Amino acid sequence: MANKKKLPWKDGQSAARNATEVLPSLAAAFFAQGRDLTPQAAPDGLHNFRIQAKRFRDTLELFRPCYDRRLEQLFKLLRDMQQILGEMNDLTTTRRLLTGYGLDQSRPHLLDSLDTRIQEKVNQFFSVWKKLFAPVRKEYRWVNYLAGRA
Amino acid sequence: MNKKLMLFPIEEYAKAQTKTLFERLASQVGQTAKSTDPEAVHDLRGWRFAIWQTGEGKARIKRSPAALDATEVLAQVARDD
Repeated sequence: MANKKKLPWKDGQSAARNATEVLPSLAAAFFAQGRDLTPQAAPDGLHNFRIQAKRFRDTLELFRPCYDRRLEQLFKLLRDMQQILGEMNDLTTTRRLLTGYGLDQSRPHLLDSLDTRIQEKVNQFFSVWKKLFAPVRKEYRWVNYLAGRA
Repeated sequence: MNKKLMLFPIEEYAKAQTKTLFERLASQVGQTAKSTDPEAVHDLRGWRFAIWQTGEGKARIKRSPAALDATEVLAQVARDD
């Protein structure tokens, strides 16, 4: 299940200060959830992570005015990753629909092609994650940036 | 970076940002309605969109590979039947 914990915004404090105090922990949680994913956990794990990634990006969007243009780099990384997860979700939903119609019994070869595409998306996601998010220095970079330390 | 806005107390900032977001959303909805392009609406991607397209007997989907896959699968079902 995606983390739905309420974020600790502080009344009366500026938006910028709230952002630098709250967003780093949200980023750290995002990276931690991503690190825990394994290809074996897909697709449920990836579905939950997709929701977490959406929440993370949507929250960052609200605080776009509090950061400089470097934040756009993080948005692009997140958008590209979400695109893969979104396509995987479309495929998984399609599979569920067809299975509901009983096609897994009557035409299993149709589901095989969907399974192949789903697996391709899973592999694509982990390839992107490993290269652009998984290295510890990447997490430090973005957490420090959001904390206003970089 | 908006130095004036970022110094707002969080409550006022949230109100200002919410107003901006609603205006943007209204604009996007307006554009979508004008273009009558179902693919511009995120929730119409994927299988729902694929069914609609297959039901219409059209194959115009280009932007979403997943939707395209779904269309091909459903089209094959229709041919088999």
